[in-house]
Amino acid sequence: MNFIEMKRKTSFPSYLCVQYFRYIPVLTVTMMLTACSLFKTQEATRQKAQVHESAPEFALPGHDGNTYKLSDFRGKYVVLEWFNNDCPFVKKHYNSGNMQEIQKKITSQDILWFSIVSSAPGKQGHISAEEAMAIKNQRQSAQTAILLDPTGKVGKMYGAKATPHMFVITPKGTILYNGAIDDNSSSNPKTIQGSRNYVTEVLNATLSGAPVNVHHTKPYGCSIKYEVTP
Amino acid sequence: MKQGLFFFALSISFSLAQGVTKPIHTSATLITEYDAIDPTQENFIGIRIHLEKNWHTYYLNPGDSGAPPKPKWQLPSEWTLGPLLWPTPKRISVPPFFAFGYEKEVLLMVPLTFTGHTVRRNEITIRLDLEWLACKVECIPYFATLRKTLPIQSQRLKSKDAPLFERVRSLIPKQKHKALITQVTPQAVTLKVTGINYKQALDFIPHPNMPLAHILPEFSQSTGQALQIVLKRYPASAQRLNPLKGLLILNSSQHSSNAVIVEAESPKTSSSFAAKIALCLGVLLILFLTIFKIILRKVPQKGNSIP
Repeated sequence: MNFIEMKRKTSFPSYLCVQYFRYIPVLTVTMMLTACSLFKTQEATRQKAQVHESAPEFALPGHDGNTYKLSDFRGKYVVLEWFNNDCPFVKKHYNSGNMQEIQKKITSQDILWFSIVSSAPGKQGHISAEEAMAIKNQRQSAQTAILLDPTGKVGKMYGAKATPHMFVITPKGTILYNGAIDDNSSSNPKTIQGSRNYVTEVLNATLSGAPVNVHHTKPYGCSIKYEVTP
Repeated sequence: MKQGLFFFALSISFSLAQGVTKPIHTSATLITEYDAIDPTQENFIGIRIHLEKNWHTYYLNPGDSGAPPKPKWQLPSEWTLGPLLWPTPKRISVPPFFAFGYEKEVLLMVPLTFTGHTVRRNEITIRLDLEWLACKVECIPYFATLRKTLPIQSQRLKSKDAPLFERVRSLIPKQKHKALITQVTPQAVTLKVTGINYKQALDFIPHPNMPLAHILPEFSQSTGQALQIVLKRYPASAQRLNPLKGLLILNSSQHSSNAVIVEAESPKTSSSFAAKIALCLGVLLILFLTIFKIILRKVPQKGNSIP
C-alpha cells in the first residue's frame, strides 16, 4: 500500500499519525545521537575515578624495573595505595607494621597491591626505582610492587589527594572503594588498634559475597606532592 | 670548639632531663580567660597554638588533606567540657590543593562548667593530651601533654590572655542561616541564600564529610539580596548532599563574625511534587491516547473514505 492509498483509506487523524510515523525512525536516530553526544560530554567532564565506574587505565614502572599495566590484571582484585615514605601518616601505618600485615593478608588471597608514588622530583617522597626497592626491603612490605608516577599523571587521573589514599578495584575493572585506609585520622600509631580499616572491610565483604557498606570516605594524611603546573 | 660542643650536649641533656621536647615550628599552651574557675559560671579555657611564618594547622574540616587538632581532656568528673569552638578558618592554597586552617596563631576555646552537686576541692587540675599537625609543604605531627591548675573561687580577675579570648570570641561563627538547594548536577550543587546583609561573599567552607570539592565556589547575586552559590561536588562521591552545611564567609559590617553557618536543604516537597505531576501527566496522556484510539475505531469514517 503506497502513501496515497493510505491517505485515501484512512480518516483524517489517522492519516496524520501515519504521516508522522514516517519520521519516527529519523527522530529516534536523532535522539539517540543527541543522547550519545550528551553522554560523551558528561564523560569528558568526569576526569576523576568514580566509585562503580571503570578504573582509569595506567602503565607505570615498578621498583623492580617491570612495567605494570592495570588491564593486565583484569580478573583479579587490585588495591592501589598512594605512598610517600616520609609522610607521618604513612609512617604511622608502616612503622607500626600495620600496613605490612594488611598487605600480607590481602596479597595471600591472590589480590594485587600497588603502592604508587606520585611525588614530583625534588619534592617530599619522590623516589627512584632503586630507592623504592630499598624501602620495600627495609620496611619488609608485601605489596606486589611500588610504582613510580613522578609526573603525577596517574595520581591526578584517580583524583588521589593524600598519602595514604586507597582504591579497591574489582576483577571487572570497576572502582569498589575510594578513600581513607581507616576511620582514624590521627598520626599516632596507638590509634590503629580499634580503628575501622575500610580496605580490609570492603575486601572481606565482597569476597564473602556480603554487601559492601562503604564505597567512599574522605582520605586523610599528607597532601600528595604533585608537580605544580602553572 | 670543644666548649661549644659541650654546651650543645649540655642543652640537649637538660631538655631531655626536663622531659621537654621543644617543637621547632609550632607550640601549644593551655590558657584561661580568668585567673580562677568559678563553679557558678561558664568558664572558658583555650588551646593556643602558635605557628611559625608560612606554617599552618587545621580547621575541623582540614580540606583536601591534613587533620584537625585532637584534644583529649582529663578533669575531675564533676566538671563538664562543652564542644571545641572553632574560629572562622582561612583558605590556604597548597597547590594543587586547598586546606582550611589557621596561620600564625589560633585559640580553640572550650567552655567548662561545674555539673556536680557540691564543690569539694578548692582547686582544679586540667590535663590535656593534644595532637596537632603543622604543615608548610611538608607536615609534622606534634604531641603535647599540657596541665593547668587553677583555684576554684567566685572572686576572680581577668587573666593576661583575656583580650585574646575576647577577640577570638568574635571570630566564632554563631549565626545560623537556612538556605535552599536549587540545583544538583553530577558536577555541582547550587544554593540560594536569602535574607543576609553582606557587601561581598568571599568563600564557602564546607563542614566535615560534605561530599564537596574544596575549590573556590562561584558566587552570584540574583534578585534582591539572594545570593547564589555554586559548589563543585567531590567527583568520586555518591554521598547524600541533603542537608548541606558549611561556613559562608562574608565581607560585612553587619555581623560581629564574618561567617554565618549555612544549612541548605532541597525543598522538601519539590521532588515528590514533581514526581506526582509527572505521574498525573503520564496517566492523562495514556487516557487521552486510549480515548483517541476508541474514537477512531467507533466513529464512521465519512467524507475521507472513497466508495
